[in-house]
Amino acid sequence: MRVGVTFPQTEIGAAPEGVREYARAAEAAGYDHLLVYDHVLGANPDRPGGFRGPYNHETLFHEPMVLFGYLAGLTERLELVTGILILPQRQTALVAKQAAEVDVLSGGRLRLGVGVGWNAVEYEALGESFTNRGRRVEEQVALLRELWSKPVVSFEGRYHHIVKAGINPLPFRRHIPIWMGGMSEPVLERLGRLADGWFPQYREPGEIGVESRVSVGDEASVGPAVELAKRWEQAGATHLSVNTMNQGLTTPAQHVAAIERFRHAWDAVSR
Amino acid sequence: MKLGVSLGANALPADPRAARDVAQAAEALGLTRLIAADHVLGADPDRPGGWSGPYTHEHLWHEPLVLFGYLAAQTDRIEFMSGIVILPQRQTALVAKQAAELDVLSGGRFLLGVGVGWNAVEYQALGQPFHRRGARMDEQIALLRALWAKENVSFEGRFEHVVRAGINPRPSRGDIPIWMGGHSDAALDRVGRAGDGWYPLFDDPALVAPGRERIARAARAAGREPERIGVQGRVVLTGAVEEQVAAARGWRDAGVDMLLLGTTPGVSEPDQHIAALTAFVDTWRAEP
Repeated sequence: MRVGVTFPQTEIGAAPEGVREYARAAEAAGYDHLLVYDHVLGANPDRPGGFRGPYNHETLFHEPMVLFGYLAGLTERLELVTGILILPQRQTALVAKQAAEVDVLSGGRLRLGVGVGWNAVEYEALGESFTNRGRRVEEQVALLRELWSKPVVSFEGRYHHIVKAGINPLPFRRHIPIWMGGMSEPVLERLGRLADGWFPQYREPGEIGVESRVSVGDEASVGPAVELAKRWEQAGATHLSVNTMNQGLTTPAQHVAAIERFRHAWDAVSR
Repeated sequence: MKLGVSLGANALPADPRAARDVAQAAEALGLTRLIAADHVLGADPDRPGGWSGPYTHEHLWHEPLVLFGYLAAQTDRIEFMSGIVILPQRQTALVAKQAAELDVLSGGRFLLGVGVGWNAVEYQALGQPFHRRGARMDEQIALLRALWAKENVSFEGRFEHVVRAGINPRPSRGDIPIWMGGHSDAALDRVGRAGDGWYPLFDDPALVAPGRERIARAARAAGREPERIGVQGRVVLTGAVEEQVAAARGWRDAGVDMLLLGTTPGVSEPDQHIAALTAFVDTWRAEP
């Protein structure tokens, strides 16, 4: 099982020093990948109709594509994973271009996790329709794969029109793995048809998953997290990400210490 | 007059070490700005109606915002400016978010160069209308400034709608300088109304003064201070270095703040770019 870290988006802070320290420590500790969440905008909860989302405009999120450009320059081995990028609120051709750029700059280390999200406020601010996001994401994935594999593409879809044009540079291997998040039946069917991997939102390995997650904070949390990770592995998960958000950690150094503690304990039981 | 480097079409191969080497060498030479252009897609010239654009799908362009993220990790002082991002073909809020991310990761070293572009093929592929792109860009600039300045934005424009939402992190100074290309009357008026700098693409410094005059009029009409609007000139590093330096003198005498050294056309070897930059800088600094 490949074990990575969930970048503590909401707690790492804006300062580049903290980002650098965390990414380098994750690589040095031997983690395989670094997974980031994506929100372009946060909604002010004081709004007509109220707001029940888990994040608001006061929550800090680094932008994954630019962040991955930065991390490509700071790391050598870590796989860079979006988990997930809200694809239907972005322009497909620009995602293709920026993902290819990350892939080229990192020597083929990008894995693009995509999903349809839940926040209509972001879609509106980005000028995209919230209601047809499930249908659009299918066409987007097909177009991404075309743009990554061919220097010139013509595409006539319901939502996309490209006439003999292409991106350059193409990705390192003319391919970037696309993983999908989500749990609903249409999502699972879409996954089977289109995706290279799955981020389930289960927390219990009894419900079998592929990319799994455990959370780690203080010393006492390490043992149970390692235990849970073992069960994920036995359940057939191929990838696991270690989350440190919402565990009461307040500085980049504390997040670093937490992922190092987990890694140490994990190495002890998995060798 | 400060010096910078502008990466031209096909100036770099895909291998990221080339971009890193040129940026680090430029910084070591004392250049203070690095500019990269933006084309999201290239068109195949074999198409209905033919093709007269200067670039095709065979030109390699690094995506500037992701590239600058990479270079921010590899350098300490040099500024990065998009030259230019074709703003109306991108989503405003995402440009605001990515520009702010660059500002934060680079420690305030990013300037956003914007323009309306000329390639309808890219607009179509990106799902944005090609017409009214000037009017849309005016509104986009206003929304960018609002998203950078305030944590909570409501914006009801003709083209943009944001209801009580914001980006986080925001730029450390609450703003990012916006530079603009073009030298049509409409472009100059827009620089005066809304820009922090002007990036003309002509090669004749004699055109600076009339352009500046028009920008100043538009700035004063909008209640802004014309002296705060920067101008940059450009010398392409081709031909004899003495001729390049003579052209640079012309830009200096025209009063520009920043001179960009354009990479030699047809060259994509980083070592050759570095040699050309070094030759220019050595000769320029030896000037009396």
